[in-house]
Amino acid sequence: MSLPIAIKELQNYLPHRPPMVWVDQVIEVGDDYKKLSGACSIRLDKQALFVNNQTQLRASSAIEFSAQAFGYIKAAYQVMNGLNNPPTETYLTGVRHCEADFSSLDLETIDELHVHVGVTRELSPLTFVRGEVRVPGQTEPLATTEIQVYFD
Amino acid sequence: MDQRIKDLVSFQIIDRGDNSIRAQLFIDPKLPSFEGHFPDKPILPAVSIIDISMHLLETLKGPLAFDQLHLKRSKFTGMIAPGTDVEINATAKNDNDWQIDWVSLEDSAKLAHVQMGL
Repeated sequence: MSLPIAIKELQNYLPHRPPMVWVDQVIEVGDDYKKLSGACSIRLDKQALFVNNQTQLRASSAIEFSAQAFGYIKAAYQVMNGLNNPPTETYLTGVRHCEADFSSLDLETIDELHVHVGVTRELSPLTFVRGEVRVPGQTEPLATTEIQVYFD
Repeated sequence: MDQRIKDLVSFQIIDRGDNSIRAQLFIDPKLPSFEGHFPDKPILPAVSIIDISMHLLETLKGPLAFDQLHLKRSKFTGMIAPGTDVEINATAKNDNDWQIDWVSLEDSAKLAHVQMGL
């Protein structure tokens, strides 16, 4: 399987199901599984739960984007490397920080975002993940997150 | 706040002052987040805990910008299933920073601790 990978191909790896599957494709996967990194794309569907009243991207979504991106990038790495070790349980257990400002986003003109994540530390079963949400092609993030994920 | 959440989440205010508010939370099990998080074991997602915390603060502070978020060390330590009786206690630490604690009314277990700047 090669990139990009549609999330529906990886859906069995995580317990999330629509309408709580918020990322659409895995578009990058790093080589180092212990310091895993990568990126996912997000389609800005105005009917999605992360959009307020069809007009405004909810800032808290940056946290779920980062958590799901990490989970599906981990799944993609496993699929691409012939591994099969899905988690039995996985939860978001903490947020060290989140700074998000989506007020400049016009959902009439921008229909996709990218979320880039990377593991900063692993204390099994906890993994600490840094995330950035960006408009494709732009380097300045709209949101930065540091989250703590339970993965067992 | 999104109309879908306004329609399905309500509060019974127990106590309120200029810099604090305490309320019991009522969540309709039809909240769409429960449907996909997760189908076999519905649990309130952390993002919903954050959004509902902001929704409670709106009752005290007026409309908030839901497209901006400043969150500091926050923990999600308990599973909040549909029907869980929860009390939320929000206290201002200073002019901008709020601490919001979610506690189970069944066993006083701490369910979440959220720190956010407005």
